[in-house]
Amino acid sequence: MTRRAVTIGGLLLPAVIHMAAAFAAGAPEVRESQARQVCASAGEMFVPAGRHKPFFKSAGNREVPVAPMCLDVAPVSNAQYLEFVRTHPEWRRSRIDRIYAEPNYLAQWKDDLTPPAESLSEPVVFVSWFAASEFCEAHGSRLPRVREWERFAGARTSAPNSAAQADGATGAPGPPFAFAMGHRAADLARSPLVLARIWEWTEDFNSSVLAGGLGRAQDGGDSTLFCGDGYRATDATDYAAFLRYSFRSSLRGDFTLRNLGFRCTRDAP
Amino acid sequence: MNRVSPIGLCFSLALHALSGHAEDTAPRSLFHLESSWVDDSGHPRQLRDLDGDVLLVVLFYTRCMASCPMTVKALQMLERHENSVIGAHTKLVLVTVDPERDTLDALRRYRLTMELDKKNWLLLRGSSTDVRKLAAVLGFNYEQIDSGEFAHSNLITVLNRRGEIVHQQSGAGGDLEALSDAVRAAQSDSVPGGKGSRG
Repeated sequence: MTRRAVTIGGLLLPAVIHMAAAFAAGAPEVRESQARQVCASAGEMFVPAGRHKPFFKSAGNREVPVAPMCLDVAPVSNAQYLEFVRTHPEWRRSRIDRIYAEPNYLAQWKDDLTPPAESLSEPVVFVSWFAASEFCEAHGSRLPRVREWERFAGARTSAPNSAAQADGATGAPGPPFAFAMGHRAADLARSPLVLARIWEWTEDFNSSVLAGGLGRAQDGGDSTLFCGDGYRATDATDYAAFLRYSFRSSLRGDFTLRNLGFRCTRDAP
Repeated sequence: MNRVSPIGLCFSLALHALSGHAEDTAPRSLFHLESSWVDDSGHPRQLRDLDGDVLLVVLFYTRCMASCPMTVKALQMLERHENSVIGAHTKLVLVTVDPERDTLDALRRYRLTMELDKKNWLLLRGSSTDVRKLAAVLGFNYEQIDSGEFAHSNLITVLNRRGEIVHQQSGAGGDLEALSDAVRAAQSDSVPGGKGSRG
């Protein structure tokens, strides 16, 4: 998300020379370690190249490659979002155009510049896709695409598919559908990646077409129309993934929800 | 373990979205969407240039063999009906979701093949980012699949003169009666503004 310049000149220079020499040598593992350092210097985590098996069947059911990323470790917080609206006044609650967000945009904030004091470090929610996209763009990054998000957080889990699963650490009841809100990919199990029990926006959230191509915004308001598409799933037993794809396809870009936030990513160097 | 039926669950997920404050009357106008387009004659277009017209908006692509031609034909039936609701200050707008392959030439050919009247039909091309934004506003889902085809929603959207969504329905096989009623209502502006369709 951020590209804080690390200018500890003298300290960094030998490392840079070393890296440059190694880079010239072109070894993949060296390029990866360089990318790790670039991501880390911006406060982001490196997500190595991976593969993603599309949830819905297509010709060949091929896995698709996912390029390496510099990814936000955690969803964007209220404090970070506050900095953004300070410098981008057109995205403040009282100023935002209604085409870009529903009326309850930032509903939990007290006013334009006052997120709840007790949740400054909590993920910002009640943000629209337009607002989230703009935040990332202002930080030289973008929202993860569905395939990218699923690659780092779409791992299957053996946890029970309980609608209100208790928090493993505290025993407190978790949010509904927490089990579907992401599990770290196997190769990231030891990474600092934080999945915060919220849904997260993706750049191409509106790319899943369920139930014979009918969108959610149909006449009659029958929002159940898109929900009969399990037969197209490559793994119909992955209930959590099914929920995520259903949820995404039910969104519109201006929607702002209590349990929907975002994080940013960018292509790794 | 899956104790919640998928259908019931989807419905409840969608209900999350039905929020909003009743007292809010600010317009949700597509004319406010920052995006830029070029028509098939090569003229730059902004959506807000169409302010004052009732618009029927459809996302499509020219290579689409299944639903798009049927939707276009349905709109043509509406256009050519003896009591047509299409004409002065009511336009049909086709926006391609495949700007990469739908060049202005391709759009021009499509206009000829489908016999789309210059006065009534606007064919627009924009960047893939602008297409994604417009789709996000309309609630239109689409995805390019392996063959280069698109899987996509099948949606006709009616905008009133202020660019607010007043009606949406499925394109091919949809109820043309309901569509022309919605257009007439938008023309006489008896539809309450600012609410849009929440599908």
